[in-house]
Amino acid sequence: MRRLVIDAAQYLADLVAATRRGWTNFFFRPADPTPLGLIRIAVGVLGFWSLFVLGLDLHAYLGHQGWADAERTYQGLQPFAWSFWFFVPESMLRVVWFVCLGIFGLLAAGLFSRTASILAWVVIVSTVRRVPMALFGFDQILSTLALYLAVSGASGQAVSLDRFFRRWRQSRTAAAMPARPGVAGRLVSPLEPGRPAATVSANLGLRLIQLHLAFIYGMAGLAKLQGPSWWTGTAIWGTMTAGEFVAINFTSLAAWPIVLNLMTHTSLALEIAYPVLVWFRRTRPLMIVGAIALHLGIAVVCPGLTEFGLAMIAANVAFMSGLWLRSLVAGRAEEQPAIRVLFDGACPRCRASMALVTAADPDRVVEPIDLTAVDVATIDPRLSREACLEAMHVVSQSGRITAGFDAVTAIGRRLPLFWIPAFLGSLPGIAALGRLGYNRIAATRPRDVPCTDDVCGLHPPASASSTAGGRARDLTRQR
Amino acid sequence: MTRKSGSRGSETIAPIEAPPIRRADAGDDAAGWPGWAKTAVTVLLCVHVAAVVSGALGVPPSSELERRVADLFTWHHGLLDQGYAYRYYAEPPPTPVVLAALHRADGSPDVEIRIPEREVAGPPMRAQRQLALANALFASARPEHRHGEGEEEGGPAESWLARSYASYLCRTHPGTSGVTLYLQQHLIPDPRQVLEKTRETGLRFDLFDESLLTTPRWIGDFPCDGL
Repeated sequence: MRRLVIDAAQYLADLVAATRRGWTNFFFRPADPTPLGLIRIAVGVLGFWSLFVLGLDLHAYLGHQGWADAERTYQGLQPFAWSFWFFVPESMLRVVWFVCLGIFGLLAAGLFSRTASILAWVVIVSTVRRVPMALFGFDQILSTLALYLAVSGASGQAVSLDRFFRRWRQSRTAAAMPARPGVAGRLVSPLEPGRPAATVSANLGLRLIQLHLAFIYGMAGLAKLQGPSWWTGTAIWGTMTAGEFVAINFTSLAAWPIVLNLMTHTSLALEIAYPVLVWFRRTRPLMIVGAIALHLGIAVVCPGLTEFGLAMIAANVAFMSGLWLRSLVAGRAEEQPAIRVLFDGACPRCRASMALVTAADPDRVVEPIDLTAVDVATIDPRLSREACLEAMHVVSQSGRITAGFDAVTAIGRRLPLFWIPAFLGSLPGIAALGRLGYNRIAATRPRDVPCTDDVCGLHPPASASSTAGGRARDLTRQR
Repeated sequence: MTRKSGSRGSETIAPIEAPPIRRADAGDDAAGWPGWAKTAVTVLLCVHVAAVVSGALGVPPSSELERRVADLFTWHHGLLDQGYAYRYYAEPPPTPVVLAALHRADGSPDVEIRIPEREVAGPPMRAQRQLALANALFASARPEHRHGEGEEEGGPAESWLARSYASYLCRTHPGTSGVTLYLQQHLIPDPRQVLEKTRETGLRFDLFDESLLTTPRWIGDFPCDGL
């Protein structure tokens, strides 16, 4: 008997200790904030879009005497529920609506991310409370994601303008430094590397989204087990032929009952399996790909549920590796640097331009090389110092060399922040104008002058020597 | 979508969540949070998880226990808007449709308004919102839903939402003397019915076939001057 009690007590003590270790390891270890940053963009864009669509019938939905009378809706709120929309005067509805759109814009861009994420959550919950008669699954998912972005406070740690501007300030400071003895070339890179640091707050946000998502799929799957049509394999028929929902007539599938059965059983199996198999490394990709296929399929059948599907897909990003997501645009480690940029380190304007480029680098895509400090022929035998001084040159990992304005667009194509300008700059007419402009600016650029506001707008810090004291990285030396 | 090893160091790239990347330049909190912070967050996490789970389980059909636990977190569901059931399409139901007949003061023929409209201008999400509105009107007009709402007046299926919607129609359609609301259900066709009809006509089955729309059920008459 005594042995039984001791063993039971030992077992419970081990269980508590293991649970504590597992809990800490699950919630309190640092994680790459990249997936959270991408989810923030999705929530910002979807929130903006949802509110924009509501704005097409603004007074019908949010007006005091709209489809649902504001006073009665307010009285019907559950305890502790709240919404600022009840207190917005009718004449101010459009103004407040614009402000709310702006908040979602800030969230999507990652500007003032922490504040924007809290305000976006306030807008989403307020809207949900004001229009309870017009909600569907999309609103639930958006509200959930917005809550976790707000409480984690980590959504701006990656893929955000906040981070870009911070790194840009650092790289501009580095570029404004005088040349340092013993350092080959001028510094133009920020202190923070392109890849964001892993943080516990990001992990908390991601874990909450992961848990909630697994719970949503589990509940949806278990609830379906109550419905006979999910057992008879005809439930998908019901969704594909609901006249008010669908955009395409799928009734020809009536002749293919086995296909309908297969789609029904597969959907149900996915929802039931997801909460379990998504936690295992081997099966996780299958679950994520299956979920994405499911939501895209729903969007094709029921276009009105497209945003719901996109929100669910965005939530699935929480299960993806930040390193892998980043590699989709930056390339794998062995593919970096994708391009090497030869810039004129003696030209303040060139350094300022490179500071902008390095600040936007998502990882180590761009390697800036000060051509005044190296023998350019060692970079590529086809290069000459004279040609490089005439215009910026870019050497890609495949050996392709571009120069001048074409080099600018080549850099832009590698940096997500500049994809759109790079695309526009590649258009025939704009490219021709760009080359003219670039050549003119390059030919008249100042060299070997102190970097001041008059020339490049760079601000050397008062404590230049201390900032330069080994913290600023010189990529040309590292590589 | 497979794990691939890079040539630099031990970095791996996998599409799924990788082990945490500890970097020399990691942020401050990479070093770990203080014990009190972890404890506080742990308490908050436990409360939140309990609230979310109980909110989902406390929706009918549910046990007395599940409902009682869910009631403990009413404050959480109210504050944070997380008390959802997530029971999507447990059984694909017929789609509710709301029909409004606007009676004209000048005696001209009634104007009919349908929610959801057959063709909604703009993005599909706008139509989805209308579907949700029709669902809400349908749900609010069900007798079991109105049970206990002692203050309800008028017709047998009248609800405050129906009254509010009628009032909105009166205001946005000048010259309307009154509104009559009906509810209709748009049924899901039976596959055998579809096959038969397709064989008979040789045409694709019409999802708006009259046979799929139930007889409109009267909700109530709403005179505009009384709203």
